[in-house]
Amino acid sequence: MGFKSIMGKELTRVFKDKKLIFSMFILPVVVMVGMFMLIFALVSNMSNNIEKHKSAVYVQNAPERFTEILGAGEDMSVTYIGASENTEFIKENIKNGDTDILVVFPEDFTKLVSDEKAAIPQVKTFYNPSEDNSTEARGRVMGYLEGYRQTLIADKFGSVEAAVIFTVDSDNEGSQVFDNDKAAGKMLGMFLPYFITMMIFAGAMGLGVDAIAGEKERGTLASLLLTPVSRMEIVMGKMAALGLLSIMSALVYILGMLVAIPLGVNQMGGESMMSELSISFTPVQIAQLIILILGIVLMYVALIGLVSVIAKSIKEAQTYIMPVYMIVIIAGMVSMYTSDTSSFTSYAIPLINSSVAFKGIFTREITVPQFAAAAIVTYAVAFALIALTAKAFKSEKIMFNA
Amino acid sequence: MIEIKNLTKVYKLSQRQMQKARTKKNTKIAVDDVSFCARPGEIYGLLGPNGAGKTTTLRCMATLLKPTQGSITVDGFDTVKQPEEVRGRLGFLTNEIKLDPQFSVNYLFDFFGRLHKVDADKLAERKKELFGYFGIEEFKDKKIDELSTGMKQKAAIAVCLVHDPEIIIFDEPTSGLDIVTARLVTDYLKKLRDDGKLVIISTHIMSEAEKLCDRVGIIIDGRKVCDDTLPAIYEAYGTDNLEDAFFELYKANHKEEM
Repeated sequence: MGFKSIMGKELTRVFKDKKLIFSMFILPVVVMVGMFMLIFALVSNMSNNIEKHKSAVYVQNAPERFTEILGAGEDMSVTYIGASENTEFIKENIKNGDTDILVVFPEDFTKLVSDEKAAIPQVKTFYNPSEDNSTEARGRVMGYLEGYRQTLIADKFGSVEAAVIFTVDSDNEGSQVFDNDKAAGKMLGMFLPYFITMMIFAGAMGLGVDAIAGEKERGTLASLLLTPVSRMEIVMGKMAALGLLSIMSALVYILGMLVAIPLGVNQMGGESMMSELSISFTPVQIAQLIILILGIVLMYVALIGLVSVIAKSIKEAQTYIMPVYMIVIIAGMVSMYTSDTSSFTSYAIPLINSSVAFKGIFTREITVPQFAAAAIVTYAVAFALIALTAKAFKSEKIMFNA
Repeated sequence: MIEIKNLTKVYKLSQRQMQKARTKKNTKIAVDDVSFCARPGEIYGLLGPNGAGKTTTLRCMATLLKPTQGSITVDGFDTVKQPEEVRGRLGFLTNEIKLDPQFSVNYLFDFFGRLHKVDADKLAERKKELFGYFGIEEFKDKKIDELSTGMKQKAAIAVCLVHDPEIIIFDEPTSGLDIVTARLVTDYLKKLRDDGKLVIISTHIMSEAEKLCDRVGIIIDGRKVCDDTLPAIYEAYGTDNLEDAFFELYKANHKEEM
């Protein structure tokens, strides 16, 4: 009874407050969609610019056949120079980004090609990899050079095919042997655990500080302590409400991402990328995810609750909670960049184990004992923290500074 | 009925508190071996200067603090062993305990009613009576935040009496109230007494105690130095008012700290 009423009041506090609803449930989606759209728009804009740019190319000692091939293309403005010209200023311009690429043929290139006894001639290119336009120009030049090479081969052997000795995967469609779900899972497992843990914590942080430290600061917590409801029920009621709210806010973020990513990808014209991202879960995976997420929510909410009880004011609670938040983020990052998901110990360390377990669930590599270890440790820590919070509620020193 | 037996409350001081109090002792005796008994149908006043230990004594009664020594029983229930039983029988109000500013009086009244396990019919009846008496009806749906000090105090009193407690403890019931609201509150306390409830108040305003209390206990430096009806106190100290009697007691009992 007390538990339900206290939980209900905490939920009412949020849902009656229009500003809170906006900042918790509407703003994140708007910001998320807006941010993704902006990033995708900027990226596609940039690649458009590069594509539209006419490469500024210098070619020294260009063979006649090559100039014909280059002349057919429209994506370059080519300046041909003779053997005697100094190329140093051109290289300087490439460094400055004014010129995109310099292609240097040996002076007697055609003669070297036709003379079977001569050394194989070398075409040199000079470009600036730190300039997008220059990198793009090199790609284009390489394409033309390949075309030129093929014409020369055709000249020599009658046809290009005549020079082919073997091919690799020319009609082998099944070349990539992989489980689509597992591959997508690996991709999701890289960043999703980090996002999930961060979002859950961030969602619970603001509300939890207010629901406990705020009530303490405002002097309203004592009125709850005067009711015949047990301390444990008060703690559990508040934490249940917080947990529910932080799950909801995490869902809102995920929803925002689900809306934003396809929009952005379509904008970039990359439908194929979407199909690679698609993933299906087995019922076992879903059950494991739910068990783990609930445990994490409980643990974070309890952690925030404990910190908020110990603090005397909202400000103090916020000061205490920042380092905790950092640790959570770092733990998420550590698991993001560790590929070792097989060692059992990483499933037994709180905070780290949940991210590692997420990864394992997504890639379907987690074993039953590993999952059990991660779940048991997470829940054990959560309940220990809840018990500590309830104990803190009973402390005169903490509650009344007595 | 409240029975206090040899109540002693010792606070441990932190380093900072020790510096602030300019003392080398790491403990402070807030209440020292206090015993008294208050019965239904009376208003018992706990009198004393600031820092004498009144609030600590009241908080011990309300189960918010645990006695270092001694015991308190409320209608036979021990405050340490059966705190939930005790809290169900008490209405406790102080200035430091406030109502949640984001909610309306109406919501909080129902909320605390549920926490005190008051059933719906009884709750409606209590609401009608208390909202009517304190004139809360007209602002019952406003958030506490939007109310004036007087309205807030009325709301707090109504909410703290939601479960019709047999024992009402008020820490400085009229502090911060205007003269009209203060009168409304003291009249209600008298009504509660006449209904057969036990009312315990703490105050340092002697005139208020004179008008309101049937019996008073005077606490000086954590020790109870007097516990009697007003006429008996006047007679014992040869005065006709509480203030003079109080100063007699104060001179006799207050020692400057070394």
